[in-house]
Order: sequence, then structure tokens, then C-alpha cells
Amino acid sequence: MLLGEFEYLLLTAVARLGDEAYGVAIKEEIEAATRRRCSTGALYTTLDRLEEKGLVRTWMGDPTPERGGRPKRMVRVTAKGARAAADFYSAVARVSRGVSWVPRRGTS
Amino acid sequence: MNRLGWRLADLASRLLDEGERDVVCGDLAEARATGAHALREVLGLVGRRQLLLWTGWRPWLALSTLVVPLGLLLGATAARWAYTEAIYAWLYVDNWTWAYIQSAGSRLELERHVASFAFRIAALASASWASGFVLAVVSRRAIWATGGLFCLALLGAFTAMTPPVAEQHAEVFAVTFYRVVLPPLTATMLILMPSIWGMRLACRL
Repeated sequence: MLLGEFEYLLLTAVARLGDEAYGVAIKEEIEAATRRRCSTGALYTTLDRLEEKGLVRTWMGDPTPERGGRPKRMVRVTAKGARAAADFYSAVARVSRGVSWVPRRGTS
Repeated sequence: MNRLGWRLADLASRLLDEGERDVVCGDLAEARATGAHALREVLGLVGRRQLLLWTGWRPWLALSTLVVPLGLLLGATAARWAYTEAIYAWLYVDNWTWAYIQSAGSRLELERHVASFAFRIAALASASWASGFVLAVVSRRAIWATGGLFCLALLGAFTAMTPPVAEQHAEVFAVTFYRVVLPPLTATMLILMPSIWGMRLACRL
């Protein structure tokens, strides 16, 4: 089963962040890449779904003072998650072959 | 405003699991979110979590077998009870005469009524408590939604099923207490509070 668009964005953000992947960092990474707001609700419900599918692993990190002593939920992509992301990327690359999305003059 | 937003966000976050609540509030604190932003984010997550619960069968089972039938039945019963008891209370309290005790027949009638009154109070409150308890057992995680709907069904049925005042009882309901105070008091004390108590107890087990 192919990933959803947001699931792919999340997996990619987590992979890019490596050991620093947790809620706020992932949200900022996605918002910077897509230039769209990423809600906490979308982030955590998707994260749960990915974890249920075995595509990511999460655990509680250490509390920090700037978080008011509350812990972070750390995230890591599993091998299965990496394969799913690679499949999604390959599918997008295949389906995009020969198609140019650069707007041509005269098209709206 | 900022502080109020944070306070409301903190209250709303209690609908989340404890672990998730800590993580989300920590994220918002780290991101230096404003009160309004924190509230919006928490409500968004709570809304999604509540909606996801309805993808399972338990809340639907609770809704179809408990919330609608029992909520309506209890609300309607309590409405009927409040109406009848208002008449007896008017008779025995507002029009008290020692003849009720002096006459053997009247005394027996009064004793029967007091016993019946106590039994009905206990039965209504117990049924409401048990309904709330079972509802929380069946749909514990969705209890905020199913419990809220149950209370709405109770109050809706209570309001809709309160009988219109019959002409021969007009004098009873001319008394403000029986017309204005007793119905909401009955709904609150005999059905709403016991139901909520039952739900709270089941959620703690």
C-alpha cells in the first residue's frame, strides 16, 4: 500500500532530522518545505498511524527547561518505513517521467 | 487574553492521554505559541482524536443501545415523575392538615405515598447511575462525546416529555416552585448527577 502525501512528507522530515526528530522540529521542517501550516493534530495522528504500520518508532525523550520540564516524543524511521518512502518516491518519479510542470507561456 | 488562551488550552488538553498531553503542551511551550494558537492546536488534536474513536464499533454500540434508548427513557420517566410529585407535594406540603395523620385511612395513604416516593427516587437515581456507569465501561475513550450526548438525550427527553399542565392541576403549577424550580431540580439531582457520577467512577476503575 502506497503512502499518503502527508505520510511521505513526515517520513522524509524525520529522516532528514535524524536524531533530532521530534514534534516541533518535524513540524518546522514540513512547514519550511511545503510553505504551508502543519497542525499539531495532523502531525500526531499521522505519526500514530505510521507507528501502527511499523513505519516509524517513537519514544519519550528527556524533558527540557524550554518545554516547561515536559518530554519530547522522539521519532525514528524504521527499515520498513524507509522502504515505503523509497517506493513512494519511485512511484512519483516514474509517473512524472516525461512530464514538465514548468508553466509554459500562454498557459494559465 | 494570552493567559486565558493558555488556560483554556490546558483544560482542553485534559481530554488527551496523559503522555500525549505532556508532549503537546511541551511542543507548544517550546514553540512559544500564543494562547490563541495553543488553544487552536490542542482543540484540533482533541477533535481529531475524538473523531478517530468513532471509527471503532464501541461508541456506536453505546450510542445505539444506551445513549438514545436509555437517555430518552430516563428523561421521559423523570419528567412524568416530577409532574406527579409536584401534585402530591402540593397536596401534602402546601395543604397540610393534621387530618392526614389523625384519620387511619389518610395516614395509610400518606405512608404508602412516602414509601413510593422514596422508592421512586432511589430507582430513578440508581438507573441513571447504572446507565452512566455502563456507558463509560462500553465507550470509555469516547466518554466525553457519548456522555455529552447521553446528558443531552436526558435533558431533551425531560423537556419534551414534561406533560402540559392539566386544567385540574392549574392551582398546583401556579406555585413558582412546582412550575419553575422542581423540574430542573429533578433533572439535575435525579438523572444528570447520578449519571455523571457513574461515568466518573467507571472511568477511574
